[in-house]
This record gives sequence, C-alpha cells and structure tokens, in this order.
Amino acid sequence: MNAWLEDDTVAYDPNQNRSSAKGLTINPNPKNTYLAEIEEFSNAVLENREPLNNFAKGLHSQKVLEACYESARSGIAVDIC
Amino acid sequence: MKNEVLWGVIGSGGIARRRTIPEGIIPAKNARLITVFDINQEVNEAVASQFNAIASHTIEELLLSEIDAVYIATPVNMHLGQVILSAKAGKHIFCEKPLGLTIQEAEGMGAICKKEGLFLGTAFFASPTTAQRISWSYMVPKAASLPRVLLDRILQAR
Repeated sequence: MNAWLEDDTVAYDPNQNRSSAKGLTINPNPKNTYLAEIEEFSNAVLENREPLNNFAKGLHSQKVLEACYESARSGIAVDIC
Repeated sequence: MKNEVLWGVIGSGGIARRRTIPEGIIPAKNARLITVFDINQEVNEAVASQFNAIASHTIEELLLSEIDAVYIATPVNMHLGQVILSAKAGKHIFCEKPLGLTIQEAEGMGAICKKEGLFLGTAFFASPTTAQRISWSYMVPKAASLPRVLLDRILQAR
C-alpha cells in the first residue's frame, strides 16, 4: 500500500500537478483492524495510559450522531461543540 | 510485569463471534479470552466451546471472574447498564460504538469509569490501524506518539 502525502513546505498548486512537487511515500504493514483495536486497548491497560480509541472519541462521535438527528429534524446544519 | 490482559466478552453472539474474538482477542499476543456471556445461552455455550472459554450464565458471574477488561458488543440500548455494572466491578471497558443512545448516556459512562479509575475505550475498529498512525505522524510530527484525530474531527453535520 502506498499513500502520497504532499510535503508541507510545498505551496498550494491550483493545477494539482503532483509531478512538480515533492511527496512522501509511506509503506505501512497491512494489519487486521480487529487485532489492532484489541492490541492497542490491551497495551493501554498494561501501560496504564489512555487508549487511542478513548472515551473522548466515542463522545465526539455521539455528538455527531445527535447533530445528524437534530439536523434531519430542523433541516439546517448543526454545529458540533 | 504483567504482559497480557484477561478478557471477558458481554454479548458473545454477534460481531464478537464473527470478528472481534477470532481476529482480535485470540491472535493478540497481549490478550487472553477467559469468559463469555450472551443472553442466548445456547449460542453462548457454542461460542465458549469454539474459543475454549468459560460460558458465564450472567453478567454478574462473568464479572466475578479473574478478568481485567470487558468487551461489550451488545445492542446499544444495553450499553449504559452493562458499563455501570462492569465499572463497579473494577473492569476496564472496551465498548462497541455508539457508546450510548444519547450524549447524556455516553457522558454517564465516561463519568463512572473516571470515578472508578478505569479506561473506557470505544471500538472504532478502523481507527488505530498502522496506516493511519503513520499518516498522522507525518501530519502531526509533535504528536506522533499520540496522534490527535485531525482526519476525523467532524465540526458540523447536516
């Protein structure tokens, strides 16, 4: 898997011409996502630190959900604080 | 130092049986499945047998086991009560998404886990993958060890 990321020293190119700009290629190792989530949470418990998939992310997602319902009722966009 | 987390699963019959136990808890080097619970006893016995775990007949029984953490994979309307029971039993909690039916329920879950000094995780299974962590490390170099979620920080919805 290759991902192309634009170097942050490159200014915005309205022509989106990749060949003219420097990029970064990353080659992450493919990993089963269920294995990753269990290993990460288990490591957090063992290391006594907050997991990456923590409560704050879950709460934010919950706020997005509720905003979607509210927006569906009202017909207008809803800010998420 | 302890090198593995002992797990109990609440709601063993659905995504837990299809994905999270066989692809996550079983192959993880730092995790071990101890016991499972499901409201459907017949299914629960089958899951326990399939993964060499103990079939708990109630959540209370599961929480009395020598486990460090619970994975909650029940319907969302069950989450709040099960999180409260698990937190009072001193177990870290990895709960399926969404955490609750409402923001208020989710905040209640966070509050009890904080009070009991426990970690509450949300099972966004696609979030902590290697690819995303490496991407984040390029975009947020100073936060490489704990990437904040620039990519999925939604600010407005319609």
